[in-house]
Amino acid sequence: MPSEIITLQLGQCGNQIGMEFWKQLCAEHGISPEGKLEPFAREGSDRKDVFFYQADDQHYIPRAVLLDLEPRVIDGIMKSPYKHLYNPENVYISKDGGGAGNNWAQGYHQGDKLTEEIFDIIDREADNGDSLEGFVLCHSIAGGTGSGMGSNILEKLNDRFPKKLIQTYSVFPMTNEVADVVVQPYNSVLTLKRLTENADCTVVLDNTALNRIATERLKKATPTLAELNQLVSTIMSGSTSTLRYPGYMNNDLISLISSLIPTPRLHFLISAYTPLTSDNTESEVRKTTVLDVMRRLLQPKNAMVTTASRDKNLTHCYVSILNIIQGEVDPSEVHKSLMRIRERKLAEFIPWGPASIQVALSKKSPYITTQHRVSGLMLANHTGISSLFDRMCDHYDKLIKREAFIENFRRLPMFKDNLDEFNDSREVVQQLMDEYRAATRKDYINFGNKQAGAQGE
Amino acid sequence: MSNFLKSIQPALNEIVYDITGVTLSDRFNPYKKLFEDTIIHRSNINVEKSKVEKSIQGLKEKYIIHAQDKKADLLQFLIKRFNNRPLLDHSPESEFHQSCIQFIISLARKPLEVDLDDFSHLLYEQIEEANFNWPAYLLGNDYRKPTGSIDWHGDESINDDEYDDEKIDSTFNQNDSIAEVNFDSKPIDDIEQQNYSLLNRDIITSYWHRTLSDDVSPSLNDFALFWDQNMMKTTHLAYRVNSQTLTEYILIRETLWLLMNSSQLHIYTIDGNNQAHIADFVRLCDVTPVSIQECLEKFTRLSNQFRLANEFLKKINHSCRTLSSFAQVLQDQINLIYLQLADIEKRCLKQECTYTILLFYQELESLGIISKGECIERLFDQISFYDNKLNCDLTLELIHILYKNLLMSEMINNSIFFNFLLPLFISSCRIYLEIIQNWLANGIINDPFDEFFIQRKTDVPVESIDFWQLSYTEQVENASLIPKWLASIVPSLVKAGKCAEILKSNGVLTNQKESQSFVEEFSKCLEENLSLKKFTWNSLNSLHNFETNNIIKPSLNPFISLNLTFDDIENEKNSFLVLAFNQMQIPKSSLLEINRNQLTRSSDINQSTNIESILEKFSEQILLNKCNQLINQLTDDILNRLKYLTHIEYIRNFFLFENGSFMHQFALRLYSKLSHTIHERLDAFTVLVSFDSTLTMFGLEKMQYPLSVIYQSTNEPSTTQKYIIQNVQLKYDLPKELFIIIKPDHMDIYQKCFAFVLQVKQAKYVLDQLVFSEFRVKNRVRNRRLYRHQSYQLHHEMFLLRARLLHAVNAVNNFVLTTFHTAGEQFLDKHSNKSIDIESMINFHEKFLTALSIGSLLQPKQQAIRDQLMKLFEIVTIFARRWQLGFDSIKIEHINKLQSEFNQTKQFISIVLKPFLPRMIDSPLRALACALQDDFYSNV
Repeated sequence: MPSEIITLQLGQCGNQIGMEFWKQLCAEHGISPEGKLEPFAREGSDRKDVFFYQADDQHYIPRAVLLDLEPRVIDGIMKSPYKHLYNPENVYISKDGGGAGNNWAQGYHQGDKLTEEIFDIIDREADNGDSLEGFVLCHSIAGGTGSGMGSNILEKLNDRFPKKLIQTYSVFPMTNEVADVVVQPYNSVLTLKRLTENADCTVVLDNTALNRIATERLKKATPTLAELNQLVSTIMSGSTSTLRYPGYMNNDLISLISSLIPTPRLHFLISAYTPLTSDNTESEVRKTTVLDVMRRLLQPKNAMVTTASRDKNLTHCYVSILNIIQGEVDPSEVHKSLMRIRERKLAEFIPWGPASIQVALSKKSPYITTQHRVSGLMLANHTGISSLFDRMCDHYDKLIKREAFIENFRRLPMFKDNLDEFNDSREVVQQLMDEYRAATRKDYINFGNKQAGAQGE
Repeated sequence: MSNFLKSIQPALNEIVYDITGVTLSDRFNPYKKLFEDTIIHRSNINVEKSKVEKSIQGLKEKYIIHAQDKKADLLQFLIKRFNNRPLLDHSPESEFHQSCIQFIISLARKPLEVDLDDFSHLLYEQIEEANFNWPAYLLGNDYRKPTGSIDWHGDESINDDEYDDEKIDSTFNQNDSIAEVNFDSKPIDDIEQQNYSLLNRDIITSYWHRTLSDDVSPSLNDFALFWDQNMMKTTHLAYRVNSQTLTEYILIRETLWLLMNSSQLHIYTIDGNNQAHIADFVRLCDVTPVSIQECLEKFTRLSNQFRLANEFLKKINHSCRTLSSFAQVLQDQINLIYLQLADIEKRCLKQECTYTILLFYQELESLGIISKGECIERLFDQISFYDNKLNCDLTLELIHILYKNLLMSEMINNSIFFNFLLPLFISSCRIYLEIIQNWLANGIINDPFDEFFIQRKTDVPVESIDFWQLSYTEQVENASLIPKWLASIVPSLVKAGKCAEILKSNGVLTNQKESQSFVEEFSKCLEENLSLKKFTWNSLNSLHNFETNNIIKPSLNPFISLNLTFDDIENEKNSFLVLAFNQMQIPKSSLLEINRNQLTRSSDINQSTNIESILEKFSEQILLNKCNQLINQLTDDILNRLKYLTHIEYIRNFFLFENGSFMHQFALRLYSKLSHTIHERLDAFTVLVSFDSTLTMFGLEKMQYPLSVIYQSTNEPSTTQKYIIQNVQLKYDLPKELFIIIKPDHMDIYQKCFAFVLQVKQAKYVLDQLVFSEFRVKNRVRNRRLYRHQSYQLHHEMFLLRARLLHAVNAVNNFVLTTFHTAGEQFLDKHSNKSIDIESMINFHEKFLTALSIGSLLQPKQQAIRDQLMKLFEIVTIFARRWQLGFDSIKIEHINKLQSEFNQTKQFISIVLKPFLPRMIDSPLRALACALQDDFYSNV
């Protein structure tokens, strides 16, 4: 029904976080793993139809497309209690089942080959709704399927649905330790280019930060993948809560995004959530107020992306902030909290444009009991994200210098003749980083000119 | 003395006593005037007819034994007539009575020597009398002599005993036919009875007026003569009747007469020429001891006090029910006093009790009559009933004064005052209570005489929007007159009354007439606490009818529960005293006992429960309780039956976009239509279609949905708002019953709010739509070209302007919607309170609307901001148009122009809002002012 959003889950990581996301959504809307509405949830005023539609037998079916090149994760889903939830037609596993082998080029190439079949599903799903608002893509940028095929699909989505929003939840790989996938920097940079050029909004989920949060906040010695995915699903459900629980403001995805993204390329968002709880641990946070929540959200330790506040003689700053506050909130508290944040100068903003902390109030699901009165999610556009790209580029540069592990790429059509695509991608990422850095300065408005001028020379 | 004489003499004496109240003794000299007087006073006494009848019967038999049948018959006949004749001075009747008595006395003394001839003339008169028009005669009207002559009266002149006896005998025998018997018995028994019964005390008084040219009592007349003859010579009155000084005897009786007639006191002396002169009662008695003089003065005062009450009772025109009720009880009280006086008189006449003036005074005092008189005087001193006051003022004043005096009497612990005033007070309050009860039970103030201090304004019907504010007014000049116990609940009362009316018009007023009667509760309350006897009440309606018919009925006296049931109350002709005496034969002793008991018992008024607290308790427990019950009933009705909060929720959802789903979608459809048809405005059809398709989209039934939409097209081309959505109106069907809270002009405010939100949202929508698809559609190639293009500066300018516009519009959007939402939440919060009532609901709703009008900048002071915002929205629309037409066609000048316009607008708004910034108070406008600042978070 209104403003539908189709979720595309790609690759191992995408399907895993997607799985967690749907679990969370089902719980919040009172939908059983089979897709049946629980008896206690019949009177709800929530809008299930943004993410679900109803089958002929009134079962709720997620507007989700599950894609993978290897069957392992999707098979897992299909053996879980949620196996009847999804529309089986929307589950696509590559027939050869070999996977992309952590190779972006392989994923991209496979994506090309499977375009017809995949877009059959996507088109059908898109036609299914009255007014499709956009797509949400869940993937990681380090692997093969999520990054490669994801990049391919991003480009195609752009061509086919030029006016629809494309938002991605992109999991960025760990950068502080040795990568388990050696070509991860290649994959990342190649995907990053597509994210820069083809997505409207990318919510960056930094595995490094997720791990750190899991260990520091949730006190897990070695956080499992499921626990990390739970964090992601919390972010995902939180950021869509205003769509699903209609309120007096922000009832569509675009209104959330539009104020966050002032210029086309600066659309990489960091996220934060507080208070975090897990099933087994007692929360450290005892009392929650709007101000507490807002203040904690601004603390870097709660951010799901590890960013540097300073690098290369720059002080990074916020371009824009959106806080989604859930729970019983007196709207007058919001203004007071904003005043406090202003007085304490808790947030540094760009000097060239209007500084805004948007606050959206959202209801909590009535079917889930939480320990806390108020919880909050922050989506922020922060120039510090360039440091993350910077780290990735560092790794990339080291690898590409020696053209290490490049053979696997050369085997595929895109890189058969030359490695231009690598350079091109690296340049786009570099431009992105430059633009982010430029955004910290007052003369950002002239950024393009200089660039143009520099290029002209 | 023969045995026969001995056997009949006591019987005759008894008859004389029974019919005159005078004991015959050997020394007794039937002085004519004294007899007359006695006989007239006899009218106050109930002749025990049956007893006399019995005596006569016994006597007759004795006579018959002694072959004196005729005498016996005559005696019986005369006595029967005697009993049935009115007693009037200077009339043949008195002569008749005189003769009759003399006949009896002579019979008693010398039964065998009585010459029937001396009495034969009595038989003539009786015939004339039978046809005599007594009422006309007594009332001073023309009366005609009877025209018909009666045959058997023609033959007369009976000279000797035997003949006479035979003659009468034969006469009786001759007239043995049925017709004659009827004639004989009927006029005497029935017609005379009828005539007699016409003669109440008033008529006799008027008769006296006429004959003596002024008001004078018979005993006084008598006394005056006596005085004339005797008193001048000797200061001490030696004449004694059963050792009682005649003077005192007469004085007492005179006093009684005065008191009972409550006529103005005139004392007469009659000089040697038999002329009456007005004299001073007290001076007349200046030979008497001081204490007696004082008593007499007091009697005089007392008489005047009663006169006050009587005058009031006579003059009161029953202009309102409270006064009638008051008058009724006052009448009852006065009647009680008369009853007591009559009892004294009776005893005085019967000489059962020997009163001296002092004793008499003490008797009056012990009966509380003196105090009651003072009480009456006090009341009538403090209130004037005859000014041209409004009924309500008069009524309130009456209640106020009664209450004041009641409190005072309680304070000084004067139980007689208290007991006298209390019924008056209760009866005066009862109309109010009945009005209140009726009001609360039926939702109407039934107040035909405008005596209630709250008035319904008839020009404000219950459906009127101003009903709550204007419908009822307190119409008192001096609100402090409202007794405290009532005043404390007046606000609740008015509220409850309005509630009752609303409930009635809503058709859910449950008529709880049977449940409780305030008046009963009121008297019960007082009765329990003050150990009074049970009061009973006439229903309001009967009283009401009685007044509207304007017939002054004799006192229906249900109030004082002396075992006096006035069976014959319907008969107007019955004078009270006759009735009283009829009834008193049996309970006369108990009457006084009861009264005394009452006085002594209630003299120990329980001081712990004073009247004030009792009344307060009453008003709190009964009245307030009922009021609250009604108020709660209405609250309940509004909340539960009319689902007020559900309607508010709908209104919030529809007009204020609280529900993001439906309205959002509807608005989106309108916006997208608007952005599609660039050069056209909305039209009614588009709006309707959009609405219908939204309904369809949500699977809602159009007929059942409480909302509909109207498009008001205006021919007037307004250039300023060319691109802005307008003239879309929502129509929400609110139940009429809720107009009491949500008035039609309130709906206009909602409508304006809606229009404003629609515009704000439109601005936000068009800006939100400006995504950067331009930069990704033709991705790589296009992008690169774009970035290298000369107009890159332009793009950045546009991005920046977009961001700034978005920032401003978001700030406005947040401000408007947050203000609405906050107001709505607070509004609902307040309604979750248990103690909510209709008035607070109205207040809360007004506050809610005020908050809304601030939020939608409807306040007059905010007009400038609103105008600028409209301008801002226009800039937004134009900007969005340019953006969507394609970047290549945009020139930097356009953008600069928009930018400078935007800066101007924003600057203006900032300046207007600047005063709000430093304020510490939390105003939504302050939030807007803050949010509109670009560098808000860095500029501290």
